Amino acid sequence: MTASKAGAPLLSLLGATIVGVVLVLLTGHNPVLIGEEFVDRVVLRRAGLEESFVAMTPILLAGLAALLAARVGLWNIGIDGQVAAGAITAAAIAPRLDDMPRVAMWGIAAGAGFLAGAAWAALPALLRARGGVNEIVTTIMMTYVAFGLVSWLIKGPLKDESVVSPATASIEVARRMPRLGDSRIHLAVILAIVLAIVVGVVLRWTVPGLLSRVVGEAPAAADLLTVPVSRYLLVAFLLSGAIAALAGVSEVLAVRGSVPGDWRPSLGLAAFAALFLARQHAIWLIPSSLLLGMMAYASTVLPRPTGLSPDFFPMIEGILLIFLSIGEWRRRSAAAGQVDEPVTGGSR
Amino acid sequence: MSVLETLLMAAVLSAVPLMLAATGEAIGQRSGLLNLGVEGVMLAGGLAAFVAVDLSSSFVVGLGAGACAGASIGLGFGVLATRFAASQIVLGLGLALGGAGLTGFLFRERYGLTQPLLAQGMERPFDGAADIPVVGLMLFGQKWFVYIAVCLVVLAGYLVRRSRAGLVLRAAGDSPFAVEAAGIDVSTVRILAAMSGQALAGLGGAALAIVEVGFFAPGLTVGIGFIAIALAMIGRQDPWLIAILALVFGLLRGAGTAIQLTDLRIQTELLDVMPYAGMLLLVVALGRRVRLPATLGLAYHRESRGA
Repeated sequence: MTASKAGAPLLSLLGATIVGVVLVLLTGHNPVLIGEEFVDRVVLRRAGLEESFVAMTPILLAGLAALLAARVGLWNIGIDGQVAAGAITAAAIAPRLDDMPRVAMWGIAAGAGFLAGAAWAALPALLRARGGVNEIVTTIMMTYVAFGLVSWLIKGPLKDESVVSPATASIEVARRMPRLGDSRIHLAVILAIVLAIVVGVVLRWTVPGLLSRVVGEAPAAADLLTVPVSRYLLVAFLLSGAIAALAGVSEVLAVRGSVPGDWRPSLGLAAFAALFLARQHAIWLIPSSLLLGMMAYASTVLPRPTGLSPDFFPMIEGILLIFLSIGEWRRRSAAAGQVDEPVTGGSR
Repeated sequence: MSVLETLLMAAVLSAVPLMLAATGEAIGQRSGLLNLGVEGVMLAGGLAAFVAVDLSSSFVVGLGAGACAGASIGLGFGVLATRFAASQIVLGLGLALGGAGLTGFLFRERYGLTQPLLAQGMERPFDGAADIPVVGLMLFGQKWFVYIAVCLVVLAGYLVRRSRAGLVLRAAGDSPFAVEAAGIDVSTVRILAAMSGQALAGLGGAALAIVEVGFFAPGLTVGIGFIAIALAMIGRQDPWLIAILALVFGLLRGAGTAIQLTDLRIQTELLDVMPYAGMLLLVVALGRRVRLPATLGLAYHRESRGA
């Protein structure tokens, strides 16, 4: 991304910051104090920066999931359902593998979670790729079905009877993914960053990576090149669900150790904020999710010293997306040479 | 008042916010605008309505405030999506996130951590006729806004299907070039559709906050806005069909509660899945017939051809 290409995201960030400052002033808070506290607690303190990396990890994975679907022109609105599917699968399997070495346990649990995410994306993917049914409708419904099934599993078959409040059995702290040295950064942070780089390389420098872009941005050209369009749609969407599930897996294996009964993942919208801030670019997703991770961490530590509501930062993310939406279309229509293709499926 | 009668009444009441929001989304979709931010619009409408009733003690003022909040967001959405050719997907997701954040932020600024309730409930105009067994309470025991909402949706369906304005609206989504050729500005049609549609979504949020539950809380909509998007698509952007689907959805939810009261030992969480799974089955059954306007989600460029 050259300097000029970074213009729209930077301008959007500036715009969202200005709106945020205005809102802070209108509601009688002190923007200077909030700014100082943010820089001090989130950026300058080592613990704050490390916690931001920890908060970045699920956003980065969910952002990669959103990216893979968007690459072929699909909108995975059901990321949260796939995250839940991955988390509950890992939480169901990992505690039962007590006699195995830790690495084998992580591998099996993550693999199972990965497959569960793909399975949860399979119905929307098949209906879209083979039947032309719009994926937005199906992913929305699948998410609520996932939430219901997961809370049934936690209160029923997977409930840990040794604790009062409903939760799945906990993975012993010693068997979770380790932290690096004396820092708070855990192994999954590194793995997520590596995965982002791998996805970036595959999309940029391999033939399927290139063809997936043709499928997404110029479907007519893909037809002429005899690219198997529906297979690309299917595989991209299945991978999208699978990688989204890894966000849930990493939360279970590295952070929480179990899934509590009242847990509702809400990464989907943040994933899209990270995606469009990165201009749909896998490598740039790393800094953009780090920024959103900082905001997520800030909304847990800033309310106490500043009196700011925890909803402040999600609001800023939303305003950021609204600013980004203006630049996003211009980029797309320039790339597609004004050949507008519907972004949604349906009766084409 | 038997349990069944109360459940039926609650099912119809719970369908009202969904019905209004899905009809509003459908009007936008008909014109070619896909708004994924219904959730945020509903929350804005709900907060505006709650504060207005809190200040004025008038439900009419509250409902008006909810509709106005929705219409102003619709104006912004419409202008950005047409005149500025903003990406509708990104804009809608921004509205969903920003609307949830902003309403939570403003609610906490005003009320802190307290959870105020409305002092009075809405009147039930036909209560006298509610003695009819089984369906009496459901049909005649509702708060007055329920009847207004049903009339609004029926009227919207009539306008979309039969009026000249409805024809222009549908053409703006299916073949904007024909609209242009008839000397009508496509962008203006879409902006007006966004305003009226999101006014309905705001009204839906208002109905949820001040008519159905009687309070506002951050994140009160718990996904109704997203269900509304799906319902608008499954109902082929037809308000009458959407109204029926919203009622079925409400009844399926009510049925879950009813089954819990029987001797069948099924867990609540599994029953909660029923309405969503039902809609999903409907999508699978309908398949390709989940019809969408030809230019849904696309900016209209006067210079380009096709679309």
